[in-house]
Amino acid sequence: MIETRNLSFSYDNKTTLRFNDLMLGEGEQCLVLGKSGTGKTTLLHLLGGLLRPSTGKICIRDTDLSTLKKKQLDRFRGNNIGFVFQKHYFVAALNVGENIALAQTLADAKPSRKGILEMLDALQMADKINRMPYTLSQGEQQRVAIARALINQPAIVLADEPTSALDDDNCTAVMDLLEKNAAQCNSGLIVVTHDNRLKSRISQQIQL
Amino acid sequence: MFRIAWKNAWFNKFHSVLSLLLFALGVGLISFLLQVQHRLQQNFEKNLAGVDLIIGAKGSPLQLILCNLYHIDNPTGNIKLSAVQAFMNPAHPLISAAVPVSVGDNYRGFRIVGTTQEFPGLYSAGLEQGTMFGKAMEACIGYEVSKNAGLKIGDEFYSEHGLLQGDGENSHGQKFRVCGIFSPGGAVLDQLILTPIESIWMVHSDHKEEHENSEKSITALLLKYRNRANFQVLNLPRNINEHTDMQAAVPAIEMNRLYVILGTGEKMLRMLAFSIILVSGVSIFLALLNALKERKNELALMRVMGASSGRLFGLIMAEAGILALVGSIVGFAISHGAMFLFGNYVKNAYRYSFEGLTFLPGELVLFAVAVLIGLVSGLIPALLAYRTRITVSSGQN
Repeated sequence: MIETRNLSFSYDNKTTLRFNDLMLGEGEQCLVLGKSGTGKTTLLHLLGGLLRPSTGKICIRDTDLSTLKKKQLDRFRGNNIGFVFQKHYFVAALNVGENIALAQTLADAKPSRKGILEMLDALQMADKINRMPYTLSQGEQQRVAIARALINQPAIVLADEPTSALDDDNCTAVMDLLEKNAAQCNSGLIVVTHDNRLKSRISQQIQL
Repeated sequence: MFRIAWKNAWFNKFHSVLSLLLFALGVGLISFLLQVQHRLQQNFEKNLAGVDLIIGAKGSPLQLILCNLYHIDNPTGNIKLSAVQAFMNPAHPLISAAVPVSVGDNYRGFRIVGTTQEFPGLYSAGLEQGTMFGKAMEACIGYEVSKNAGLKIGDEFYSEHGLLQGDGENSHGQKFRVCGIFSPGGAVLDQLILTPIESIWMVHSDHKEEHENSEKSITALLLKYRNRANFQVLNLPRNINEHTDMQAAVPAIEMNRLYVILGTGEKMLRMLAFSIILVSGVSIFLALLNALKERKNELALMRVMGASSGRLFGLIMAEAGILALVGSIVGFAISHGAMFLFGNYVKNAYRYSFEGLTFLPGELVLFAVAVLIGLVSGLIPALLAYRTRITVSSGQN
């Protein structure tokens, strides 16, 4: 379902990062581990179509990302890939529901309040639908971010260091939410992290 | 997408409202100037009443016209009726109508105009009540006169010397009788009291000796040509000005001169207002540029969620457009509202009617230019948004 081959990326034509091939089936979960500077985030950006690889190719659900034009790639990303970051960004002028609806609009889906409510409900956030995102606590923001990443039932959720700033309890809680909800949406999950606590949770692991 | 732009535009209220107010101020000011200019011209043209030439005593031609056509200035003096008798011959080859006018008296500030029955025809005015004046000392009054001075058919009144309401000591000894009231026409006629010219001669004949001995005189003669394109009529004013002790003034030319004089001041104001719009454009530009720094992550986020660069460009442009659009609309609302209030004031003070609700073609141009300025000021921020790099800001840094 997601497959990379001979992937490499060059910064400023000097530093070149090479990545081992990666294969992940439908709905499978995988951990990408590595120290800082080993190109974890770069790999994530490559997989998400935010960067184009210097060599090699990426296939997601039988689409070769390198065949897509700029705009098509944007659309593909909106439809098939959900992102969760360590820090949570929202459109400040929109409330929680509208922020999630925006993810649907940008993926050319019709925003459905029912769908959004169901998603928020699964994350115990349904009552916060009309709140402004930056008035929420960090934990709540994280849940909204997860809801937003999953609302389009993407092929894959890419999570960049979702737990490294959290204590053990919250780390467990976030991973529970991510894993459970990704599974419910039948979305694959790739967690990029240097957080060793996660090693025991996801068996499929890649070391960079 | 538009909804997001709308919400973003109002999210940073302080800056948005500031840009908006500046914009509204500039647009409103220009729109107001356009309105005033339009109304003035409209009123002047309505009162031009198709008069092609005015003959009167020597003096300022503009004054001659303002006095005898618009009834807002003092007479330049009198001319002898005999001197212009030739123009009043119905068989005159160039002139289709010649209406004598004699002003100089008032009743409660309303001007009494001695003239002939042709005068109301210049304004195509009809009577609402009563009959047209015929004999001396009969008077037909304008609609506003009857309303404000409380005169009805059959009422009698004394005229007062001069054009402004005085203390009543200068009253003439003979009574006028109201025989008709004109229907309202929005022109200066609404403010006048018309009477046969003989009445004026009668009231003045009794109180000074010179009057008794002097010939019959009038203030001015209003002329309409048979054919304006006839080259002989072009020479007529010059002949009168060079060969008689009277002057002839062409209202159209003199009014154009007046517009030019007023125009300079108006042009300055307009430039001032335009620079306010430009400043507000800069203000929109700075507001968006400033917000862009704070919203870098937000824009990157939207790219991550699948928004194309073009979409972000559109988003910022829409925000600039919304501010310009709403600013313009507020500006127009202010100017038309002010025009409405100002109109009521002008109506009372100068007896000219202004209305505030019609939209002028010039304002459409203004609207287009204003929105364009708004869009241009959004261009650079929008281009920067277009070039938002996702990778720098989407992660933890």
